[in-house]
Amino acid sequence: MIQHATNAVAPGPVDPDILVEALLYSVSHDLRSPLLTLSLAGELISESLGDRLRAEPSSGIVALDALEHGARDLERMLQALAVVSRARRRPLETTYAPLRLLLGGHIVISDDGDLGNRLVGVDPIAVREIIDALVGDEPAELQVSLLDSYVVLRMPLDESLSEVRGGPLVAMAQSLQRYAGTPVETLAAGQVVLERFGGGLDITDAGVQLWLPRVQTKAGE
Amino acid sequence: MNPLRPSAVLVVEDDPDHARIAQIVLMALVPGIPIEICGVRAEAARALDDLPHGTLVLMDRVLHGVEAFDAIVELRVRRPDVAIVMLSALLSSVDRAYAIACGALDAIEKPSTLAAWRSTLGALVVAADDAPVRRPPLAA
Repeated sequence: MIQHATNAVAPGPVDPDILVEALLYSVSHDLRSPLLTLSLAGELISESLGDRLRAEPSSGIVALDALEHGARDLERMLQALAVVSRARRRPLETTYAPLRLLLGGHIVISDDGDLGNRLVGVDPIAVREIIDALVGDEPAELQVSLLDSYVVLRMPLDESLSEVRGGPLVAMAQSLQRYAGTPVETLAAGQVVLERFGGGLDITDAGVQLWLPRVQTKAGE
Repeated sequence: MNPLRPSAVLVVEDDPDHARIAQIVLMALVPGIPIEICGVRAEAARALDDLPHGTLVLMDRVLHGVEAFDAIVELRVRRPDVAIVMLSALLSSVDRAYAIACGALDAIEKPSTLAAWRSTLGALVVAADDAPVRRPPLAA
């Protein structure tokens, strides 16, 4: 379907977003195909010759193990790209959602009073999924504040994120090897989704921050 | 989804290694039934003409760089008796819904391990004596 999208925009310059999307898709789909061939071929060799190779230690078994490890590592990185690609392609339904819809079940701390009725322009299911992925199903402490035209949700920093600051997508782009399969991958997908609403996600010393675009009501809230 | 009891399987796949691996796994799951491989989309319909009623088609999502969703529609119009399941190296929920809207029974991401291939295809098909007949869909 990406292919159709890019074909439909010729001649003339193609929207860079569409190109990035097509490239992401190509990398995660097209590279996974030969990777599958390698992993499955390795397994077939292991099933048919593995016992014999292990009985007489040789370079054959070293090669087989190396093939398996390399394929697993590549799979991990391609999955991370696939997660980002899916976040970019996922259909979203932006609506005016009251904060209490997003934060129900969690302990909300705010210096700005009760913000439960404040509206944000997001897909509530997608945002709730991001929150659940970050803090889990159990009630967690979320700090909520108003900042310019955003509602900012702040949640505690996981230890695994101690070296990451700023946008998780940038961190992952800088080192896929390092961050694929880690919580940074989940955050990067969240960042992609939130930016599609005009919001954002970043990691600061104070915690992970979700920036949700506010909707001004007639009452001025 | 109840497993199918196909009379034959046609694997439409441009990657000969993936096709062969699917064939090896299927030969163990449904021994004795014809399992044909077709690597070119244009030949899939002709290959299907030689296969019996109740054939299962495993259709790769991208054939030689071109998405194969419309091939599902074409094959289902030509042979409403066959069930088609799309396989893809990468699949989103949107892709799966689109494949089903095109007439596929389901769409599945290609597993990365042999055990998962066996389990995935094993959930899809059973040998003739192991399950009640599940009739393939009749209309596109």
